[in-house]
Amino acid sequence: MDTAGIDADELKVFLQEADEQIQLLDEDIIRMEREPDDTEILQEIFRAAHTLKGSSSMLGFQQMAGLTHAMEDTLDKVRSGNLAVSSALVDALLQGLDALKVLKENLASGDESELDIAPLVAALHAVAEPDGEAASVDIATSSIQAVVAADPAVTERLEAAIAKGLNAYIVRLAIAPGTDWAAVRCMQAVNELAPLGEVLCSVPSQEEIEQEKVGSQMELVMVTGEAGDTIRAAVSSVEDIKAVEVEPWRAGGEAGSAVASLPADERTADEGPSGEDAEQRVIDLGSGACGKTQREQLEMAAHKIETQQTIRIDIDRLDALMNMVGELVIDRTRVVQISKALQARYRDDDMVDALAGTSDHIAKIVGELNDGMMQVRMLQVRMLPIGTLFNKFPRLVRDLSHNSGKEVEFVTEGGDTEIDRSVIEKIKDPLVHLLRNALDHGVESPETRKAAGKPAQALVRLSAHHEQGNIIITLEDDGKGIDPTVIRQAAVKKGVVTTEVADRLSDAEAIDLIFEAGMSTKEEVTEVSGRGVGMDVVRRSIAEVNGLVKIDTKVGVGTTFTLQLPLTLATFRGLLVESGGAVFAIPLSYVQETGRLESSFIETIIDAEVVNREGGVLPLLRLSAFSQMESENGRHGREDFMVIVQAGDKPVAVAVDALRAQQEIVVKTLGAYIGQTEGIAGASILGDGQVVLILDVASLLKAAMQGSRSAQEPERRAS
Amino acid sequence: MAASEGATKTDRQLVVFSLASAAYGVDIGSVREIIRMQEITRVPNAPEFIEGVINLRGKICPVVDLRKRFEVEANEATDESRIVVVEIDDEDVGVIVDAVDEAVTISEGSIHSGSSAITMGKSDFLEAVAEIGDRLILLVALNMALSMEDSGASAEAEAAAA
Repeated sequence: MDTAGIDADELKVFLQEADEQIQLLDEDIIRMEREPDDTEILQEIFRAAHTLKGSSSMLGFQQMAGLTHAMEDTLDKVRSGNLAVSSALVDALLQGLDALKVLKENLASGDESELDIAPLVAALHAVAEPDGEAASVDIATSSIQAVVAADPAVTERLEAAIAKGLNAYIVRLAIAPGTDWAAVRCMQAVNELAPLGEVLCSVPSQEEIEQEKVGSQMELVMVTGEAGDTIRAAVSSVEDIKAVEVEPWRAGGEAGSAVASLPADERTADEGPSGEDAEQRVIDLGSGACGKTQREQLEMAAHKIETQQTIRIDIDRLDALMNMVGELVIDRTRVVQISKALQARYRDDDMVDALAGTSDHIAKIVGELNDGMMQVRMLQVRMLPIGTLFNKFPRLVRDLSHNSGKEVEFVTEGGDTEIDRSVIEKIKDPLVHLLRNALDHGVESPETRKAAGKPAQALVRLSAHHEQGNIIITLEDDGKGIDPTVIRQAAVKKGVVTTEVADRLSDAEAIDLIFEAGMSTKEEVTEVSGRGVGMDVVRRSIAEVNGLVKIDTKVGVGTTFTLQLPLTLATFRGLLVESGGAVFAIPLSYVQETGRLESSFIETIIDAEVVNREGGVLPLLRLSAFSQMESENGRHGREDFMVIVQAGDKPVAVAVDALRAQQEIVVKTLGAYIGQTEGIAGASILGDGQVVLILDVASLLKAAMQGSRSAQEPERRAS
Repeated sequence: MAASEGATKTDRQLVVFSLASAAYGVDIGSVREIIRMQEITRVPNAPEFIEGVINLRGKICPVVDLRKRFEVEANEATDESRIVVVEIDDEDVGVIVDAVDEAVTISEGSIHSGSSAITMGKSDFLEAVAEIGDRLILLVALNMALSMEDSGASAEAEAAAA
């Protein structure tokens, strides 16, 4: 696509806007299918398509403009009640949307390749014009005015012509649906009109007509010395033109049926602004109106103002600014100190006094700057409703179930639950994977379900709610469940565990094996869930945000995945513990209980230490052994306390020297220089300035569990 | 200040520090700040020469022990010990030194590159030798010295391959 001649900033703004509108369409088209009577959704979709059309045609992205134009046309039919929401309609819209995404990506990446939108446009028109429907000009459509509004040259010529006393008309043509000659008829109509005056612009445009990108309607704006009837007669002579409407042009004003609601004197073509309608004119000019009711115009104008008030800023750039302000704050203190010292030394010096005054002022400004930046910082860790993520899934479920011939009712609940935007980003892929799994492995075909006495339509429910400072997300299906026996067999076959170990595992432990690397229960890799990503990646991704995944399944009844996630990544509740003279923070979400570690609890089973007490036998991990602090410092901690933590299916006891407070921990990264270190998730700075390390419980336990598992399986280690 | 005014294009300004009784220099432009020794939090499983992390005005800053890197005798920290914070790949990294001696301006002419002048320790980490009067200052190639890759190991690997 040709982006030459377009300012890079302009393109960026356009792409951001396109992103928003496409996202909106993505969510709303699916919603529309489920709630066809909700006019607000329809209105929103229409507006999004319309906005995209306007901005893409303004920048000359003809394909995108053509496609959105066709979508808008079709949607307008639905809006005016002439077309019902159908599966075919939604399909056509979604296909159009997919093409829009491709076009947008091409623009973003500077890809020059073109996309053939003609079949998509045709499909949209086909659903909009069911065969045999009587031809009529849809008078509510007035996209021509948007085209005129977007082109100052046309507006100028129109105004000049009107000033010269010529008539300006909007001509609308309805072309017989199904004709193979639509483009030719459009061309003929233009040719008929050419001798009578000047055609300033048309929808479809001249280029679109030449490329045969035409629908069943055409609108054009012309200036002429002739009367409206002459124009009508000229165009009517063209074959296949079923209806013609000619009406006077009004700058930014209303046309067609909507005009009826305006005072009669508004309709006359070329009257000057008189007292009463002056206000109306102001509104028209301000909003660049295009075939909307007055109220809608106002709404659009308001919307415009709203979008102008926000700016987007690169987080990296913001962080750089924050850091600079941080340094300024330190220098401020120093400058104030120095000027005080100078004042004490040179009491009656004017220059020193002036310096003191200036430095006080600088101090004040820096303080305000810092406060302002802190507010921005707060916004930076903004909470978003999880619905922004959930809304992406109905489309996925629809596509997947259509492709596999399964019938699924997909329900989302608790979409307004708020969660840190960075957590949302991290859990998107895991959730997509779980959802794909549920549809591929969980939900059975309608026949199988009926045979098992279940309703043919499966229920998949995705819900979110708050629980004790965490977000709990559950994904529930009423499919066939997971059979522990199958998992055991698969695990042995794939060499994840030995037969002996597999037999010893409880059903819950066996099912937990699906989170091991190298497990996939389905023999063949399917298109749905087979992307080389396993459940191990899901668990790891969730662990990266200090979260947990649990699974609850019953053969023949269904499977529920439960994700426990922190509200925010920037801070979390942590338990501070001491080991070998150092302090570590353990995310509280992993902590089950704490207590004294009596030496009588400790037993050794095949080289591995375990804690044996009333609650059962737990593997024991000495934090000092991990941190290697003991030998370094020569300080022997007594490790009299334990913290029982759980990241997978089994809890583990972690031995520490002392338990300290629970507190809010602000997460900081160790930086790229040190990079990833096993067992450490990051660092934090306590109120007194002390640096503590945050334990990465999942990776810590994994290392410990591998140790204990290999201790249980000496034969496996030897092989 | 006076030194910089007189500096010409080919002159280099160095921060000179001492480490195990040898004098080292780094370009003043790469030095962000020099701070006193402070408590360093060790990071388990981090590379050997990383001493740990410190709180640098609210930011986490890694600290490297150059003595371990240069394989010279490790001294106990004294009152003179400093952490020289340098910028590497847009990130601040602290370097522990025995003492920071001075900032000097030297002319290009007094710098001798070439391996014959560099004989001690891990020569990959040194860029050249500068002569100031009768003193020798070893110019540290910061990028190499603070690089995560163990150049000693790669040199061995190269030798093995040859």
